[in-house]
Amino acid sequence: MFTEELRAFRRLGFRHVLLQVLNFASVIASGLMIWKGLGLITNTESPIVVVLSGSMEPAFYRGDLLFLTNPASERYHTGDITVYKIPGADIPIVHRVLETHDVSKTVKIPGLDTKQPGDQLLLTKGDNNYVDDIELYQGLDWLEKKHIVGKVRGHRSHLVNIRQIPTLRRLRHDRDERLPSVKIRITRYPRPIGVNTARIIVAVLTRPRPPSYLVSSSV
Amino acid sequence: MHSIFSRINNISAFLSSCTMALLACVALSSFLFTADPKGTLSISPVKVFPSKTNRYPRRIQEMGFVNFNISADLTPLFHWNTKQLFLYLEAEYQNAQGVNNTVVIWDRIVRRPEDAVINFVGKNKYAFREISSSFKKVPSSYYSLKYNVMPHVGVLTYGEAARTIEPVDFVWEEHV
Repeated sequence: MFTEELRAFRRLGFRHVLLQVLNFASVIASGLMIWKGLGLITNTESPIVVVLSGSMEPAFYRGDLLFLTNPASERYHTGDITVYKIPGADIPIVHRVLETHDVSKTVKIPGLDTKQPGDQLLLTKGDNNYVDDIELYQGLDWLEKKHIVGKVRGHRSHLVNIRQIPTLRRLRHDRDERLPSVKIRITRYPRPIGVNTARIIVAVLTRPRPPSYLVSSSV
Repeated sequence: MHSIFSRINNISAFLSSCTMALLACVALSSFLFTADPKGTLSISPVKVFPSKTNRYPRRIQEMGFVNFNISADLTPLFHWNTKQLFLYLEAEYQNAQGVNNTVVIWDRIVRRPEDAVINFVGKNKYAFREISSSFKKVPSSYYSLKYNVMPHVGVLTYGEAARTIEPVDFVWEEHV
């Protein structure tokens, strides 16, 4: 099967094969170095992310590239677009800041531990969503600095429409479309199940799940 | 050495670097457009009503209801690299605990220069709440109309189109 290739390798000699391996390793290493170096400069774990959800349409479509920075002294303002990751959630979310609350002296805020000066409480919302993200925070009332992966600084529109690639179509079952399931879990008081609720439950139970290797946001 | 594949490889490599250079030029060109349009914003005293919270049905929280007028001509912000404008009206105030708050109470996405002449009369779209659940010790707040220019390729830029000069008071209505 590989007799031809093996013969070619034997002809080139052991040193040449080693050189090829070294070349290959250096290509991979330089790619990794550029990626990690960018991450070091921008102080974020993934300086370039791909948009996976339609919740920021028409600003960002699926497949757009976003460039993030997250300096340690960063303050967030309303209107900024942040990428955040809630502990326990597997996918980072790209949404716009709706409210900021800057703490300037030590204060006790209901439902939270004591906040120190300089802490910031944030609330976000997707441009394409009707309501804010509180249902996505998995029980948290506010986002904080530690949840933020980065602030979107630059943008490049998608060159290929991700919706037209059949193998990537399943990515569309993203966080926003999973919102109903989150809502049902949070409902506190038992209510009689209406037709609509039943329909949502059926939809949630029968929703197609994306394969885990497709769900990642970093390039 | 001069096989068809090496030619294809060379051409595609050259094309992709040309495309990157072109995109960089387009991104840089948007720094040449430095329009800073201004508009006017007027806000009537903000009425405050007690209401229930969404999340905790037994907790009572005060909601502010803002009636405002916006008039602004933002067409100069549209140039060849503008994808859309994100316009938002923001309330800024400091509460009794010394927390500086900014809350977006209204927003609009403008996608065409034809729609960039804004004449809007209305009320807030998003809930205006205080984190201590009451506006009682907040004397007044400032409001500003801000925008975010979102390019096709390049850096997101922000600006301010209008601002209330005088602080706007909160008013508690009597309830029956």
